[in-house]
Amino acid sequence: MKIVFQLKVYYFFKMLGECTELSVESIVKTFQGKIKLHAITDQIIDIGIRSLPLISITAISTGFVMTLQFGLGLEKYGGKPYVPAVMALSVFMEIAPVFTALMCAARVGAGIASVVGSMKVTQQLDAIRVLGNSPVEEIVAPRLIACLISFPILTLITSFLALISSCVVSTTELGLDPFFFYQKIISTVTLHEFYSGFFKSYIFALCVCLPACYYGFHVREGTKGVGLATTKSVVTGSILIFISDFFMTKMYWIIEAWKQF
Amino acid sequence: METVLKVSNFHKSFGTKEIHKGTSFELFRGECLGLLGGSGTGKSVILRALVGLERPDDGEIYYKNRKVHTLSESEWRPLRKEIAYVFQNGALFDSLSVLENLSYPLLRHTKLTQEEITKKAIRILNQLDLFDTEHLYPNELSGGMQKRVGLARSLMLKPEVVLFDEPTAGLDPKNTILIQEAICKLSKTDYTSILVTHDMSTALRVCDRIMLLEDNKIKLTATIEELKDKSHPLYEFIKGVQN
Repeated sequence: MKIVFQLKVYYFFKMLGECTELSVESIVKTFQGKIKLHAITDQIIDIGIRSLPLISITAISTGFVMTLQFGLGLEKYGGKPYVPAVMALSVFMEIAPVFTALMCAARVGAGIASVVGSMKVTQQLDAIRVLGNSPVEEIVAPRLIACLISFPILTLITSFLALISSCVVSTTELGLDPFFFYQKIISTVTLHEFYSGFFKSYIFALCVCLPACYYGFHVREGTKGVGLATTKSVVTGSILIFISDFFMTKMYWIIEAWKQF
Repeated sequence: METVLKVSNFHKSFGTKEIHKGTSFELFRGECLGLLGGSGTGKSVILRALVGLERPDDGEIYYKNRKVHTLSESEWRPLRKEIAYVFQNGALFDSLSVLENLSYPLLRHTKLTQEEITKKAIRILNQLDLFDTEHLYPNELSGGMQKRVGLARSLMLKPEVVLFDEPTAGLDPKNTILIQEAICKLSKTDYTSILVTHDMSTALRVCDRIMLLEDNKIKLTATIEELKDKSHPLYEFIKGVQN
């Protein structure tokens, strides 16, 4: 049992190490100008634009539900006017980046792992190498760049939609004035708080894309292996999102505490 | 005769299973070398090592007297213009059309215009009896056609050495003959090639020299001329397989 656990930890850190290598190589190739623009735009369409319906539904329903929960919960203590501030802070700092990343881990991560895994099984990755190209340049780099461009934009859209839906529920169900709602958001959220969530989305893009490519590259048992790689990429991506979220939040508050001195 | 490829004391294991224990051979310019052997004897492994897809555990590989088994992936890349590999299943990019598959290596390694690339691709496709297939996708082609497109793609850069991994495996007699003819046409030009196969008729028709892999190393070697002598041990092997 102990050995199994040790092995799992070993493979987890091995995966993180190889993911770092993949990201470094991708960045180097990008700066060398070797990545074709159309490959990146294709991936932005696939990763960013095609994720919009899923992200929109998630954002709107989250905005509805959370506003209702906060509003009705705080009403007993006379805290209804705090709903816009609470919603704005939680959306910008946590809900938008984390929910966007989790939805993308399921949709984008699974997609990347299955495509790369299928290419591995059908020897297309070997064919790329044999024809004198690099699979990292051809497969990983365009997807990574597309994720790094798409995730922050999707996070902004999620924030916007979640707050709009929150405003709708606040007005119709809680009886708050929409202008008051807007005023509260503007007066509560600072730029630092806004950027903290925005910055997270870059790290989450790495957490989703790199494990998906890694597991795709390491498929071994044919189509069964592709399914396994897809599952692993979603699970690992989600875990990495939660772990990195904790550390980034902690770091944010340490920085804020330093500023107080 | 000039040696193009040289494999010396090649060792390779996967886990605890030893596939090669000191395999050595040479490939001479202009010849077609057939590599025969049962399943799991490591024929494809050695072919993959010759193009840098596998690294030997021990031993050396030389290409034109240059040590290549220690090269990094980026050092291998320019060499892969000279050594082509024809995959068993074609390994075509399924999201690209036949023309795009054929254009892929030229776009990467040459500065030809799209028009020139298209002309060249269609010429090679026609040579391989693949008329009007350039706009089709791999899933719209038969197995035999996919293999021929794979062959066409590997020839786009005019390589010096072509490595065939079971080019006729799983094909019907008509497609087998088409592939054999295509390889024979190549043999008459400047290509040097290695053919891994189970198919004796293909080996006897196409190759100049045949090697038998058994017990983790090269057991027998004979030229086609030597095989006319019915007492040659490799002839006995071939006869046994054909029966």
